[in-house]
Amino acid sequence: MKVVLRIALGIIAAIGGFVDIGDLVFNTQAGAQFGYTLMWAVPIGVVGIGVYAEMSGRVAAVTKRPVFDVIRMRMGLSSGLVVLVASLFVNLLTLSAEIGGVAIVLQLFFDAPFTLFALLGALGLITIIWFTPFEGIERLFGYGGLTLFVFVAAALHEQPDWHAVGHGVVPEAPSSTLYWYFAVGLIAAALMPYEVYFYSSGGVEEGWTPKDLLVNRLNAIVGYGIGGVLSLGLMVAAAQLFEPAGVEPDHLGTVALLAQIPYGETGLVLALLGMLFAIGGAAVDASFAAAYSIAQFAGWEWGKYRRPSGAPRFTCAWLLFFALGLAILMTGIDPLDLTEYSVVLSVVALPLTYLPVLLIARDRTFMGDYANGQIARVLGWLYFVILVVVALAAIPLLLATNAGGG
Amino acid sequence: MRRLLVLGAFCVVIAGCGPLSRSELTRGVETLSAVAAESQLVADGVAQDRTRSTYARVQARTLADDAAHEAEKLADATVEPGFEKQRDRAVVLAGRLDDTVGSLETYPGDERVGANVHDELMSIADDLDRLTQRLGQAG
Amino acid sequence: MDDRFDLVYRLLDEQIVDVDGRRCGRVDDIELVGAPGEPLRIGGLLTGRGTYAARIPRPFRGLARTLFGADVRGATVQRVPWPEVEDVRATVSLYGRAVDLALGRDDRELQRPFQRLPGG
Repeated sequence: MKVVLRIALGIIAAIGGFVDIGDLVFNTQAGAQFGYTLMWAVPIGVVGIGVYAEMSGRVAAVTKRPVFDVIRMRMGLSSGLVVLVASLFVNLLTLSAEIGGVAIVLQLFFDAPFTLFALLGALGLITIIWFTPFEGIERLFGYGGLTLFVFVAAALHEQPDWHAVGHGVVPEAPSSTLYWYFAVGLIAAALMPYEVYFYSSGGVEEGWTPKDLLVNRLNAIVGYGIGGVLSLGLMVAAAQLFEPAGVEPDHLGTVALLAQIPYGETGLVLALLGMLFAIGGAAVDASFAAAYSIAQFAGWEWGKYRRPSGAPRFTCAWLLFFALGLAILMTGIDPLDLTEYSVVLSVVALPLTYLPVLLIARDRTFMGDYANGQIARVLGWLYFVILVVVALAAIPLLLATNAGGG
Repeated sequence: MRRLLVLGAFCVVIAGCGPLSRSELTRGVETLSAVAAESQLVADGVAQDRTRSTYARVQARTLADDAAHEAEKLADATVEPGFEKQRDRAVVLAGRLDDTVGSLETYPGDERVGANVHDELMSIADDLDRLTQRLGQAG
Repeated sequence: MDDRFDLVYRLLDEQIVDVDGRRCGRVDDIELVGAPGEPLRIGGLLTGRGTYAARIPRPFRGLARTLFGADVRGATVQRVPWPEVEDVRATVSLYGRAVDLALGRDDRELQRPFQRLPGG
């Protein structure tokens, strides 16, 4: 019973931890611009991250190798360095966007200058990371993020046209460049690689063994699957409340209106709290993902379980990334612009980190009986093709649509 | 190689210059309509006392800034011949939008102000719709 | 340990772990010894950022040397004699402790400031 409870708590944390600023922005904008017609893109992204996370979690449990350990091993030093630098660059943009998102939400609660809240937000997150054990961090931000279900409730409250919703599950014939930009953005926002670097390293942090493969599978399928419902809730609510009114959600605060309109102040507070925890949790994940990447690539000692003095270079790495993320925000760049670029550029780099994991996950020399089965093999290669197509389309679409500005 | 890069950069820069076209002007007016639409939702929340005043203040400030920014952008731009009147009208409406939403920023907890702002925003939205139609018919 | 294994696939770029289970670098290069015509054997493992430049394509070696440093034994590169290696499986495990082999020195130097902080 205790084991079942532990597994359930982990899955719940994964659900709440699924959404970040990219999902909030892209899903809401997609719903406001295109109604239900882009719903099909979300399951593609969600299944994709489920496949990637399940494979990397399995590799971590069986071989004790998280993602960047695998990348260094399979790609060697030169190619691995290119992938590392590309990943760190995108990670940094993401982290900066998430810290900016935290600052914006704090502003919406307390109305003080953005730069003050960016600094306080970053310091608050650093303090939480410093003093809270790994599992505690996951639970805190994961459970807090569950209040985002208020958006799902809002979507249902407005009684959507289920016929139209059903149509949205099937891709439309090519309609506009902007439509396909959002399709790429939605898939990319669900498939953010830093989540998988964090997830696989977390598996090693928590001492996963082959006995934990069921937990891994449940996290990937159930956790991320239900987390995807949050993304769909945002899109459906935006389709009902923003599209008819002609609202363009260009600000993070606009997203909270989706819960305020049906549920008043209570809905607003739940939405803002959920956004704070989800984005804050994502900032922690992104900073750790960067530190894990560097430490694993270089062979340093790493891990939250080691305490700061037990893994000093690793600790310096995530602290440095927070500092750099803050520095980027101090240039005055809009966190939502940062979000657009980080989401789209992430998917460009994604095939480079996905392929080594796929190759190890199917390799019996390393995985023994736990190598990819039939389903994992098919899905694994199918998604590699999907990711390459999306990666190739991303930058042309970003330029052609002026980053979604039209 | 260096010459090609400089030429390329030059082309990129000049592509962004030149008079504002009808479609760009229409896009600007549509942006103002979107700001007006969102501001109405915020004003509704204030009018019905269904929101937090800090949220309403911060969101109103952001939206007013959007309107002011659009006003400046349109005012500074040269437009294609024949669209000067529409551009001027858009700048006036943007200014009205900025002022109206600005009063929400000043009185984010006042239900009466919320209701008045909502009504004024509906009028601005109608004017913006008419302007969009005029732009669609012109040329 | 298996009798035969692929040096590049199974040894190069692997994580090195000491007897206490501490991660202390990667196999960044392998030292092979043996005169021409004689069997080659592994002399030792080389670890450290000073090895990076030699492994990077020639056009970028100057940049790599600037960023990661030149090969300076005892400073940017440490040598682990092959007899110190206990096994090569998912990681390269050593008989001894990292401190005795001068591995992970940067972590040890940075330890003290962190230990002084609460929660460090």
